[in-house]
This record gives sequence, structure tokens and C-alpha cells, in this order.
Amino acid sequence: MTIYAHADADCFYVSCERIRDPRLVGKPVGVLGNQGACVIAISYEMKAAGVEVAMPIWKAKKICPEGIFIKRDFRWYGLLSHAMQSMLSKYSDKVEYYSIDESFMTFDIDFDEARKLAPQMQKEIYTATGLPISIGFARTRTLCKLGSKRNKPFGTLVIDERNREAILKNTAIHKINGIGRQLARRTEALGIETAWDFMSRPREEIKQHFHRPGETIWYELQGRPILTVKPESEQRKVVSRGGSIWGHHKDPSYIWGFLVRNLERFLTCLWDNQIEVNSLTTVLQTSDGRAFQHKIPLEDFTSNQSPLLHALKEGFRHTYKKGPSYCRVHLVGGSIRSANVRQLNLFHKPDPRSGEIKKLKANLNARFGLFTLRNASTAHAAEVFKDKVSDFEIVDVSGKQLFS
Amino acid sequence: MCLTIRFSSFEFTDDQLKMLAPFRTGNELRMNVRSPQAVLPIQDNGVNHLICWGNKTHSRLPKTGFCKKESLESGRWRWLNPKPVKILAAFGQTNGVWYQVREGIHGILVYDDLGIPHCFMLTQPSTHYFKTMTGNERMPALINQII
Repeated sequence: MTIYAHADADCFYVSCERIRDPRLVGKPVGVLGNQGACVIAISYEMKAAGVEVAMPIWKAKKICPEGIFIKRDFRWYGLLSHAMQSMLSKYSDKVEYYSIDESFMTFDIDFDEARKLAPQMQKEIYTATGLPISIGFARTRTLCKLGSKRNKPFGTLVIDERNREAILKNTAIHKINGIGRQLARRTEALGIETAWDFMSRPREEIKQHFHRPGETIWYELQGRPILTVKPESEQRKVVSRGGSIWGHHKDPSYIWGFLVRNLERFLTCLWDNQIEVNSLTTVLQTSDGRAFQHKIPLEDFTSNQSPLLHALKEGFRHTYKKGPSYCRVHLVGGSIRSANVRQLNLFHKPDPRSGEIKKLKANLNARFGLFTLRNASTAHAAEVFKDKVSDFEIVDVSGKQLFS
Repeated sequence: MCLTIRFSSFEFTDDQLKMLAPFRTGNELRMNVRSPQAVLPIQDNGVNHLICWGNKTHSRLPKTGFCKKESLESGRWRWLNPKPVKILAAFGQTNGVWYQVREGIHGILVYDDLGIPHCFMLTQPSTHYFKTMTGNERMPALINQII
């Protein structure tokens, strides 16, 4: 019998920090986001004090004055995430690297075997990586995710026909993965409170009110698998890099420096995934919330720096306006295709030098860190490169399905 | 500015810690610069000491617990013959925000007219991240760590 499993690391970022600094164990710990303004992950101790994820730090420090706040380090979290991922691959051939701290798997075992396997996996992963994880086993993806969530931290739960009804009757419908804020509002209007209420309604009624996504969840809660585990990442439709430019700035040189910094990260993503883009959109966001964008179609599919830098320059020329201050920049590459399936073209003359430069740069940066060898234009934002921890963001953690 | 630090009691002998009982909670000590008895845990030539945090006496030393890195580099402290030391803090607090100190904080050790040692914590302009996190313009000079 095929059963699904969901492995979810407990307060992952905090656990990663505790691995390299055991002084944090037992203390309320919060990990801060890219700017240091918001809490993006909390320990159970900080959660007990009343702090929530996405809370601004000025509020969190008042609620939890003993809380220790740590700057995020996605390179470190990425390394541990990959270590956890490779451990999971020892148990199952089919593992979906869903997000930095979550994976789905399938097993051809029965529920009794799953009950024995779950604590064994937990123990072995904890011993090998230091990461505490919770695991759920069930007949469907939706149910196993509910299982891993249910007994956190460091819990396991196998949901089978014997306990499914009791668990679903005890689970608020908004706790089910896939029931977002909008769907939860609709369930409320229909008097659906629990997951059991939801799956007890006729399928037609669910389909009428919640359309295809609701119907999928309805089947999954019944224990009839619809959602599958996808070990390979799906072909992405866009590649984007960007974010805050560390404050509010008017200086075009500084903003340009930041754009080129993001182009460097954009290129690394293209090279790592062996893909090419056919257009580049430059987006500048002002401090008062306006956004200016300009799309440049490229002559051919490319992952080379030269044409992309040229397109970025054009995009910047069209989007930058004197006067307002800017706080965010984004680059979006569209019309993606694999770099390995290039159609032969009589008129296409690849420049051998660009391939060599690309290889040299990729090797150097892989060995000595992102941005070791980078475009000279980034010197306009030199301050930013002093902090190596800020070079690596969650989107740079390769291989996962979410935020890649 | 880092006004409070926390450090581990394991780094010191019971003899060294006996006067600091009011500052102790479990295996940790908490020290605020404003306390008249404030001391800093320092490591000098591999030996750990507890030294007065800044100057609260009438000696000629600057009446502060901190030393700006820029002023040290410009030579304004040269007349005191400052010696670099490592402050063995585990956590620091600025504007009510506690943060992790991985290796320690840079400090300087100087002697007053009576030959009593005093330690001043080095500070530097805040990084963008630290400023957003704590709202403070200055931060402690952390050893091999950027916040």
C-alpha cells in the first residue's frame, strides 16, 4: 500500500541556530528577517510568551523582554536543510523537497510499519543533523501534513482509518493545508467548523462553493489521494530576484549598484538551474508605494551577463525618475527554457569567451562565496557586500519547490 | 549602545564571582553599565578577569563605559596606553533588544591613577540591520560577527 509521509522540522531556523550555539537552547529565541524589522521564526518558548511570526520587533521585544533576536543566515539554514533532505532520501526513493524545512515522501508499507519507522527516522535525523522533526503518515498528502502538525514538537502521528474520524472532528477547518483565509471565510458562512464537517458535506456542494481546490481537499480528507509527491521541481515560469535596497535612496548610482547585485544573483540562479530567459523586466518601487516597471524583450534566449546587463541598463533608464526615493528593486526574467535544448540556428554564433567567463565566475563564487567575483558596477553599493550573511537569501537555497 | 550584557558563570571561579551574587541567575550573570558595581568579563592573554566597566570614579579616565572605535583609531586614547581585550559576553542588549554575541566584543583595558584596571567596550556606527533591529545609531564592536 502506498502511504504518504510529511517531515517537518520543528521551529527550523531556531533549531539551526541552536545547533551552532547551544547557549540558545531553552531560551526564547526569534529569528529576524532580511531587514531586521520583523520576526520570521520563533522558538516554542517565545511562542508561549505570545510572540507571533511576522510580528515587528518593537512589539515582540515588549511582549517577550527576555527574547533573544538573531539575524537570519540562509546559507547555514540551506546547508542543514540539504542535510535533512539527504537523510530523508535514505528512507524513500520518492521525496519532494517542498520547502526549506518540509518534505513529502511516499512509502510502500502498511500503517503498522509506519508507526515503527516514524520514531526511528526522527531519532536518526536528530542524531545525524541535530534537527528535531515531526512526522506524519497517512493515505493522502493533506492528511499526512495534518499528522506532522498535530503532535509538534518532535511528534509523530499516523492517521489511519481507526483514528481519522476523531482527528478530523477535532481539527478546525482552517488548520487544513490549502484552506486559506478566503476559503475559511466561505466555510464559516456555510457553518463548516471542522475538517470532518467539510468532508461530510456532499461533493457537489463542496465543488459548487470551493471549486476544484476544495474538491481536491474533500477527496484527500476522505483518504483518497489526489495530490501526488513530485520529486522533480516543476519547470518555473519566471525567475525573479530583488527586494529591499536597505533603506530609502535617491542616488541613481546606489540603486544601479543594487540592481546589478540582484542581476548577479539572477545569473547564478539561471546557471545553477541551466535555464535561459527571453525577456527582462526591471521594477523600481518608490518609498511611497508606487512601482515603475519596464520589460525588455531579448534578441535570443540567454543566460549570459552581457545581454542581460544591457537589458537591465535599458530597463533602469526607463524606470528611474528623478525626485522620489526608492526602497525596493526587482528583476523578473520571463519566457524560460532549458539551456540544454537549444535549437540549432545558422545565424547563432556563440561567443566562446562568454562560456569560459561564466564557468570561471561560477567556480570562483561556488568556492569562495557568492559575489566574490562580481560586476564592478556593484561598487556603487559597496557597503552591502561587507556583510556576507546578507548575500544569501531564502530564494538562493536550491532545489526546493517553494520560494525558489 | 549595548547597556547590558549576559555572560556565563562557567568562565570564572567561585572566588571571582562571590561578590556578584545579586547579578547571578542560574549559570548566567547579567551586568548593566549603570550599576555602580558593573564589571566586564574579559580575557587578557588567555586569562579571564572581571574588570570595572568603564569609569565611575573621579580619576582622569573618561566618565563612560564605552570607547568609540573611531576615537581609538584617531589616537585620542593613546595617552592611556590602552590594551585590546576580549569581552566574554554571550548576549548583549540595546534598546530592550537582546542579541547573540558569538565570540565576544572588542574592549580596551586601561589603568587609572591608582593603578586600578578599567575596561571600556568598543563601539562603532550601527550597520543598517542593527539600526533597524534596535533603533540605535551605535553598536558594540563584535568580534568576527556582523549583525
